Amino acid sequence: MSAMRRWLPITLVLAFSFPATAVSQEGETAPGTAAAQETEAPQTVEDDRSALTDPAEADLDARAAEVAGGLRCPVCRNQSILESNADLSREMQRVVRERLAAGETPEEVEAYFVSRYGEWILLKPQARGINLVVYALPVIVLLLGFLLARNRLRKWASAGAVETSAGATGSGSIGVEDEEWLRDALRES
Amino acid sequence: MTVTGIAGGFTRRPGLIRIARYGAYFVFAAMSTAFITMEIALLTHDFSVSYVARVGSLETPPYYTAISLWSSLEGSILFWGLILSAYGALVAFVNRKSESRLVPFAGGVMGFVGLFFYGLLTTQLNPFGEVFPVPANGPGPNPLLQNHPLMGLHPPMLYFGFVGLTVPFAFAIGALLSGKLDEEWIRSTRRWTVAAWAFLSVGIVAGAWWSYEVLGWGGYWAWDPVENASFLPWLTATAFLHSVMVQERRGMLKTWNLTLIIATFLLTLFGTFLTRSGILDSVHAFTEGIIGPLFLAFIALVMITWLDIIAWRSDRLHAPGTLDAVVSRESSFILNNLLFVAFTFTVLLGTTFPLMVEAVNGNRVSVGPPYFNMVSVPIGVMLLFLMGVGPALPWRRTTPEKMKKAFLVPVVVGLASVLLGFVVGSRSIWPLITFAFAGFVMATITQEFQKGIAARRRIAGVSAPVALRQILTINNRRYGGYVVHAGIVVIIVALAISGTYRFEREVTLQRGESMLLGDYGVRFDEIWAEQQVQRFVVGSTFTVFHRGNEVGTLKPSMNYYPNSQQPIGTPAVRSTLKEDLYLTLMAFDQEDGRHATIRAIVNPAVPWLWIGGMIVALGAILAVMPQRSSGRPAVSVAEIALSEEPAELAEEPPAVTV
Repeated sequence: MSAMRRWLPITLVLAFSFPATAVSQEGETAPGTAAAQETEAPQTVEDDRSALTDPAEADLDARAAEVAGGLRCPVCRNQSILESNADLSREMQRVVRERLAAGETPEEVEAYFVSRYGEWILLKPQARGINLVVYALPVIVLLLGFLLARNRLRKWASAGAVETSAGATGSGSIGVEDEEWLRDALRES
Repeated sequence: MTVTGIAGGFTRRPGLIRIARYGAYFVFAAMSTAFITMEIALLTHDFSVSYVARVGSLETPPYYTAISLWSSLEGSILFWGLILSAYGALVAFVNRKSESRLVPFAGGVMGFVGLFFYGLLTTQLNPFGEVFPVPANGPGPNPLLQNHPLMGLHPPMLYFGFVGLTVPFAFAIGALLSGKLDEEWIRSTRRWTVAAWAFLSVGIVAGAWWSYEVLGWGGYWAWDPVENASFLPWLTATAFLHSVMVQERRGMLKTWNLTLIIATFLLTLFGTFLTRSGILDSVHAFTEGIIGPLFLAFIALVMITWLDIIAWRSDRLHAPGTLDAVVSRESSFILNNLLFVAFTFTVLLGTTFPLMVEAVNGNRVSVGPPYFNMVSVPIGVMLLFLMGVGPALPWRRTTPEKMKKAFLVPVVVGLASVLLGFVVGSRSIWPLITFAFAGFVMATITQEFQKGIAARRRIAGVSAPVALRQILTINNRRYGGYVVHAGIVVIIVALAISGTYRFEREVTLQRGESMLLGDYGVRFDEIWAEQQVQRFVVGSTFTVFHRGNEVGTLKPSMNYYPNSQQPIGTPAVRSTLKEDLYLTLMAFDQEDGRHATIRAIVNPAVPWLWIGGMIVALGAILAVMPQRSSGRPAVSVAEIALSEEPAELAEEPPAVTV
């Protein structure tokens, strides 16, 4: 909440710096719309299908969604611009699509938004500098944990081996599966 | 209660313990009175009460008025306090005849935790403040929180889960304080832990469902910090539920189990801190202020106390572990714990990383769904794999022949699942791996059931359905656990499918115009408006076609609440077992409703998330039910061992009978 408040003025300024943010209801073109919207005549389902199956268009949609899913909506809480229906997000989605259509790579589009909003706009931190911590540490923890567990298990296993060879038979040699069954049976009675 | 409980524990004087027990009842009675008073104040719109003046309004329907008790900070803490006192009283009641040295200590610890919350309620967060002059009406609860009936289920379930985890924590501390560090504390809290875990699971799934039905972006899990906060204790509690079995059977992992349950408790506190302090940007963080530092201080206090007590009792905690073989059930549990802890660590790191970076160099970064999905998919897949291996591995040790016998069918089923996924059209690597392991796990679970039923039939000479019922009631914990596993597998598969194969379009349609999405056609019919008591609704009507056949209408809407500038959307969903069609109204022609912009999403397999959640709940209920005898004359242990032997242990020398 407090962070929201801190960001609100900035985002508002940015929002208005987008010329097309104050979207007029008339003639608004939703991003990702395959079919041309200019025509007033109702379109048939068939028209739509041909537009949808245009592979280039579908590919652009998919790439735009991929990029948009990684950009944070500046006026929402924890949503990507793909998920948000705020005007600003939808405008940003349109920009993403246009830039991709103009031949920019996803990285270039991301860089553009980073230059405008700062690194904060990326929902997945760039893997450099201090951010490497967030990528490396889980792997390190998992590996260390694995090594630790392996050593411990081996130690226990060798302790167990010593015990069995010393104690030879006795209750320790009871079959594992009947041990389970005996337990169940005992619980039952 | 705290003082007398702990003092009573040390001195073992029955009088003091009795006072502590009545103290627990008294606290519960007092909290119930407070709760009921607040509910009455809310329902009668007594705006002289500060909390009612803040979240109540004359227009809010009674159901949402009643549940607005947990729609804001003070009420939530009151509710929390009530549940905590209820658990306290229940623990005291259940153990009233117990001679155990643990119970008084545990009661004392619960009382101590309670003191913190009751202290908050009476000082900083008193919901019963007086308001003067008395307002004529209030703003009503946060619109997001009065938009869907699931709000009546999701928070209480989470709270029952969160607060319920105090019980095993209290017993763990009780074990440390009393020095009775054997398996007793685990045995006496086993059902409490499973119950709390089940509440937490249901709460999380209900939260996902709520988010899906209300927030309108077609997703159910956003890795929001507060979602993570509920997920973190779930992860450690799940690890705990597994690792205690090692201690119960083998007496190993004592310190580890204590650490896990205390970490779980700390994570519930941390979650509450995240939610209630507003330190992170989140839908849930509806407040800010002084209680953040108070929570941090309390967390620190618990941590320091815990470290002190562990150090104090370290001599009694040392248990030399022995293992017969590295490949065994024990090892699979240890690996399970490793993965769960690594998962917890990663989610915790990701959630708090923006704060850490900002503290270190002042930069602001975001860690969002793309990061969490990237890290959680591999860990989740490994856990799924273990879920298939673990139950099929026997305790202590195994032999290659047994391994082959146990895993042949599951491996085949797993491979068949991949093939099936491939034939149906899946080409992505992670979903295919998920299908393989899911098939593998389901096959091992089925095998376990078959084995149990077959053994039961031989012993008791009953038909298969009766045998099934008997193993479910006699060994409800184990088979309930398998049912939970099956539910989790269903959820994971649904996550893999819906996460990979969802597709959507956003289109502006003129009246009468249609759009196509997958097998669906959607025709925009009209925009309508309706003034309801508490809100103004602008809705739209769409006719839905499936493969050319009209199958119904969907009415996504936007709701305008007096206390919210932004409209709150209500998506409309058409569910089938295969997939959901999910429509959100994004914009509409405000003059004469001639056009509307909708987002249409085809969300495959989503209903299976909720079904999986219900299976998990069912399994958990089964597992916490008291164990019953089968009602037939008791068969002697030796008889069972003998009748079991030929089939199960054909390759082993005759077992030594007890």
